[in-house]
Amino acid sequence: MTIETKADIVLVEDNPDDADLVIRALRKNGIPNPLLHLQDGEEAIHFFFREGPYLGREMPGCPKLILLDLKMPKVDGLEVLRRIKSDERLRLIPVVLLTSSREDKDIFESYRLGVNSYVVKPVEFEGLIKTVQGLGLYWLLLNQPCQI
Amino acid sequence: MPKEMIDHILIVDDKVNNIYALEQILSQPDRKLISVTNGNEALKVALNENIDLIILDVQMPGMDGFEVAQILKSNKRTRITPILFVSAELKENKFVLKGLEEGAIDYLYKPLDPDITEAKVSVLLQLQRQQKELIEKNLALEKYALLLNNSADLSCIIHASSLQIEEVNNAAQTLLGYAPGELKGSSLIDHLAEEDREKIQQLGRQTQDMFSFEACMYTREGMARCFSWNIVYKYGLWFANARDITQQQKAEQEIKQLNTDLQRNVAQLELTNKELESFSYSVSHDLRAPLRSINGYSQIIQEEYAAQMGDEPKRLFNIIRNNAKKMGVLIDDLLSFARMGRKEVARVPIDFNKLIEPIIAEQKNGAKNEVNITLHSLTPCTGDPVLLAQVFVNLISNAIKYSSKASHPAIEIGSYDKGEEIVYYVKDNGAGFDMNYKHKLFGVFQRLHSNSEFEGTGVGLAIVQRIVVKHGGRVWAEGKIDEGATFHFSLPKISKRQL
Repeated sequence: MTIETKADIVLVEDNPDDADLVIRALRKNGIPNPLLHLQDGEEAIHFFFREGPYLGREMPGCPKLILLDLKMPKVDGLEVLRRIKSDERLRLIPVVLLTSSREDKDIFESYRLGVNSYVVKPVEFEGLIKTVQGLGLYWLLLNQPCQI
Repeated sequence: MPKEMIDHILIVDDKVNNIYALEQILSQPDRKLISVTNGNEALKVALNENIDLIILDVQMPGMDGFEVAQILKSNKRTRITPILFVSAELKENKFVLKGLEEGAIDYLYKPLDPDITEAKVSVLLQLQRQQKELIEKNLALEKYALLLNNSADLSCIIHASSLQIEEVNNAAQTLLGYAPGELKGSSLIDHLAEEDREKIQQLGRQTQDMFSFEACMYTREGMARCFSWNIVYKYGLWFANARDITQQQKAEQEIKQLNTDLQRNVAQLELTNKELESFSYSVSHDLRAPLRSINGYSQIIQEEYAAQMGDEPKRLFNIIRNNAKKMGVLIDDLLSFARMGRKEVARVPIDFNKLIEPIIAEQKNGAKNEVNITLHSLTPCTGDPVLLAQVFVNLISNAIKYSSKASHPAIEIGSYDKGEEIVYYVKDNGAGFDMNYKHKLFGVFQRLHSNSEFEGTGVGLAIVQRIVVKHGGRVWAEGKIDEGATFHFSLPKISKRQL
């Protein structure tokens, strides 16, 4: 494994096309912050809790924002959210759910677990660009993160 | 003893002296002495009053004592009344008394001995009392027998130790197919279902005053019938009443089965609901992702390769993107329709004018052209304000959409009372519809106009129908092509059903 570098944004998304579109939308909005793409919930757990391939390795700094998909194989977004929000240190990192689901019960459950924001991914790319623009502007520029 | 403690004695003698002498001997406080001097009068008194003993002189002018006795013995009412003949000679009696076997008969010989007379009278009176008592008891027994035999329940007397049936009523015939005589003397055990025999034999050994149990018996045809038994235990006997509960048990069994079926169906339904939920969840998530790629990458190509592309490829990419977008709207509509089906319906009083005014303002704002909306005063009702607001949003936006091509678009919203329900309507003067297709109006994705005429996915009215039906109401519509349409829906005045 290559040496880990610090990422401001961690994107947890199992669909490579969706991940690509989100990354493109970020870049299109001129958000240059380094980004780490994790393929699914399991990898996210490994990364944040230093398990599996990350075992015994120091985390390279704390991300400023976690973008989390909801529906993923093996470990889903709600489980990742639950683990992060029940960790003393990690809970301070803003988590935004970026999902296709408009289901009331998902929205309710996410907020119950302490999500910082719940955003429904629009079908149109233009809409996605605008959404990502708003997210980047708010969470990376306006929001004052807690230093951990 | 009978309630009447006074004995009535009729004295018949043609000689007043004899009557006087008898009265002297027999007079007692608990006796009433009635005296007559000839046979005719004697018959009259004997037939009209309750006489317990007749003292009859044999030798009388006119009708003699034996003739009087013959008549009394042939009458049902006086047949059992004891007669004490008074005669001068013994021999004449022997001859005549033949044929007077019924009832007590005795003789007194003149001259009367006071002690013997009193002794005979009191014995005969006592006999008469016992006789009467016996008759009364017999009558009572007869009544009980009638009562018991008229009972639909099986009543029987059973020896507790041997379980032998001593008595049984006529219900044995209708319930088991046996004449009572056939069951008498047989053992109850022989008629019981095998699985109940041991239990009953054990019960036979116990000495509780009263107890109950259920046990099945076989009919003559070998059919099993189940009985609920109530036993009173006395003198080593069971006085048993057995009620046929075969039908009741069968009904209980059926109810139990129905309940089990119902529970299974409910579980099935819950499972189906869960499956549907996860299905729509998957649809929500998985169907949209590819659309995002189609739309996104089309736009990326358009932008990043704009220089290499002519107008035609750009136009074609636009078509792809528009269709992806439309597909997204379809999925969203379908999901909101599915979500509506799972929503719980609240029941609160609703002021519809208050509910609708902001909707009208909002819809007017969003309308592309001027539209005149008349809102009548609406009858209040109970229902779910959020869901019913959705109904009006859909109906009013439809009315605006389909009247947009009229020269003066006009919409009217009102309500009227119709017996058990209140009807609300939204009327427009727009494109209307062909009544031949009215059954398609409320179907999901069913449309009566092309997308180029009026845009839409065909979910709005399906949602209206779903919400109204969930409230226990109905939806219907009237219309004519180019002459507008009226959409009605009804709500029950008192929501008896929680749907």
